[in-house]
Amino acid sequence: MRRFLKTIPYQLIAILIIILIAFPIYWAFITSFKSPRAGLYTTEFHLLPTNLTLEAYEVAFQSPLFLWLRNSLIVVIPTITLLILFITPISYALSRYRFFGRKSVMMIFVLVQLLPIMIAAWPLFFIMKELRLLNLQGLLLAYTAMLMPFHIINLKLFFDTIPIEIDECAFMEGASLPRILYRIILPLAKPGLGVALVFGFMGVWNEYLLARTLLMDSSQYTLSVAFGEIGLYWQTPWPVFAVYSIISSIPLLIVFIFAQRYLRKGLMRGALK
Amino acid sequence: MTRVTLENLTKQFGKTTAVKDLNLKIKNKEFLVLLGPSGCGKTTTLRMIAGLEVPTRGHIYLDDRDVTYLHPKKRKVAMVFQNYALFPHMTVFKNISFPLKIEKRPKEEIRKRVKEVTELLGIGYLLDKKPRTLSGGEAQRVALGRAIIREPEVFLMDEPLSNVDAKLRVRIRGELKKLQKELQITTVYVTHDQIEAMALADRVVILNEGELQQIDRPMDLYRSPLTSFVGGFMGTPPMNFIECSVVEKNGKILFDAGTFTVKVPDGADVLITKATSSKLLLGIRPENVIVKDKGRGDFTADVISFEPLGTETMVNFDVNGVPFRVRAPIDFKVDIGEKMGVTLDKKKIYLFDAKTGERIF
Repeated sequence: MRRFLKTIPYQLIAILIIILIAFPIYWAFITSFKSPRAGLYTTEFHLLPTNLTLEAYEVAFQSPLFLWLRNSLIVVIPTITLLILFITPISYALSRYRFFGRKSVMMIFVLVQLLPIMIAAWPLFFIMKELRLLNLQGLLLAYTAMLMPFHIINLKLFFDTIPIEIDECAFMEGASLPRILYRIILPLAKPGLGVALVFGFMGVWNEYLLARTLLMDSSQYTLSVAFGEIGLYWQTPWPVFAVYSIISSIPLLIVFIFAQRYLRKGLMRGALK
Repeated sequence: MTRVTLENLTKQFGKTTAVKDLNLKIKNKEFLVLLGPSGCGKTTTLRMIAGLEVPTRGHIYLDDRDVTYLHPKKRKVAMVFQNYALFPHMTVFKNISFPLKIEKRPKEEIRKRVKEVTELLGIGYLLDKKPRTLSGGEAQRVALGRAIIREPEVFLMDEPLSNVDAKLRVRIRGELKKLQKELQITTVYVTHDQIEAMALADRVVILNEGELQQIDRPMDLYRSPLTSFVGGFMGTPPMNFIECSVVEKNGKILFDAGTFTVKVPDGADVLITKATSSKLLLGIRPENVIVKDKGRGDFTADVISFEPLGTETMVNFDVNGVPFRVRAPIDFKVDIGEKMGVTLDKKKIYLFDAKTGERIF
C-alpha cells in the first residue's frame, strides 16, 4: 500500500500529461459534431457537447476531402515501400562490410539531417520541373530521398545489434546473400522496420513544405496542402475543419496500431543488455 | 573422416599479423584443440579453415583437396559458434533443418534426419520451441545438432562452452568428447581454457601472438613444455618463474636469484651454457614445492595470501616481487605476512632462456 502511495505523484504527473495531449483531440472531436452554421468563432465554451449534429460531416464529405485523402495515400504508400526496399540493403552493407568511404557516407547521412528542408526546396523545384515531375510521383521520389539518410542510419544501428555470427552461420550452411538478408536478418529487424514505417508515414503524411512547392495542380493536393489552402482562402467553419482533422488522422491511427508492438521494441533497442 | 593440413598459413589484418606461418597436420578423426590467450590467432585460424576468412598466404587442404579459396558450403565443414548463432525467429526444428532446406532436400528426408539428430542429442522434446526459451545447455545442443545434420567431414568449434555455466560445462564437455568419438569426425576446437583443452583433446596446439608454440598430447605439454609460455599456460595455477643467473661458488654451480641461491639440479650444469643470455628463468610447478619452517629450505619468503580450496590450500608467496604459488596440504596453517622456508623439488625444475623463452632443461 505504501508503495502505491509513493507512486501517486508520478501518476498525477502522467495523468496531467495525458490530459494535455488528449484534450485538443477531444476538443476537435466534439467540435466536429457542432453545427457549422453557428459561426466561425464563438465565445461560448462547453466541456460537454450540446446540440449534436452531423451537419459538419455532410459539408466535409461534399468537399474534395476523399480526393485529397487518395492523393496522400498515393504518395505515402509507394514512399514507404521504396524506403524500406532501399534502406534494407544499404543499411545491411553499412553494418556488415568494411569498405572505403563507409565512414564518410555515414557522416554525410548524419550531416544532411542538420540542413533545413527549405534549402533543398528551391533547387528541388527546378530539378523536378526539368524532369517534368512536378506532380505526386515527383513528390514521392523527393520524400523517399529525404527520409532515407535517417532511416538508413537507424536501421544500420539495429542491424549492428544482431550478432554477425548469425549471418556467418547461414553463410556457411550455404544460404545466399539475399536469403540471409530477407529470410534471416530482416525478420529479426522487424522492430527497426517498424520505426521506419511509423516515422516515415508520419513524416510524409504531415509534410507541407515540399508538397506545397512541388504540387502545381490543385487536383493533386495532398491533405496537408489542401488544409493549408482551405485555411487561407476558403471560409471553412471550425466544425468542418475538425472533421477534416479527424478523417485525416485515421490512416495514421491504423498504422500506429499495426506497428506499435514493433515500435516499442525498436525504440527500446539497446536498452536491455 | 578427413585430414586437415595447414601450410604456411598466414593472416594479416592491415599491419597486424594474426596468424604467422602456421603449419599443422590434423589427423583423421582427431580431436585437436587450439589453445592460447585471447588474440593469439586461434579463432582466426579456425575461421580460415571454415572459409569465413581468406588467408593472406598459405594453403588449407582437406585430405588432398586444396580448399583455400573454396566457398564454405563446398568444404563440408560445420561450425559451432560461441554464441550458438541460432536463428531467433525460427523454431528448433527449423533451425536444425535449415542447412538441409537450403540444399532443397525432400521434406520426408529432412524430417527423418532431424529426428535422428535430435534423438542422438536428446533434444527431441524441444523441436517446437524458439531459441530464446532454451537454457544455455539446450541451445548448445541445438547448435550442435545443426552442425551434425550436415554430415560434415570436419567439425569446427569456437569456444562453444564459454557461455555455459561452470557445472554444466563439465557435463557437456564429457558428452562432447563421447559424441566426437562416436561420430568419428575430425574436430578442431578453439578455447582459452587449458583445463577444457586437457580434458577434450587428443592433441593440443598452443598458439601465442599468432605463432605456434608447441603441439603435443595434453600430458606431454604439461610434462615437457618447450617454452616458458607453454609452461606458464598449462596447469592451474600456472608454473612459477624465478629470474636468476648462474654463478660458481667453491667449485659448485648455483642459481643466483639475487636474494638467495639454489643448487643446480644434476645434469643441468652442462646445458646452461646453451643459453644465449646469462639470464635464466627457473620454472617450478606449485605442486613441486614444499613449505617448511622459517630458516629451513632453499630460501625464505613472505606469505601474501592463502586460499583453502577444500582438497588443498594454495599459498601465495612474494619472491623478489613476483607472486609464487605453492600447493600445500589442506590442513596447512599459516598467517599472512609470516616468513616461511621454501624448498624446490630439484628433479622437477625447468630452465628457460629468459630472453627467448626456450627451454634449456
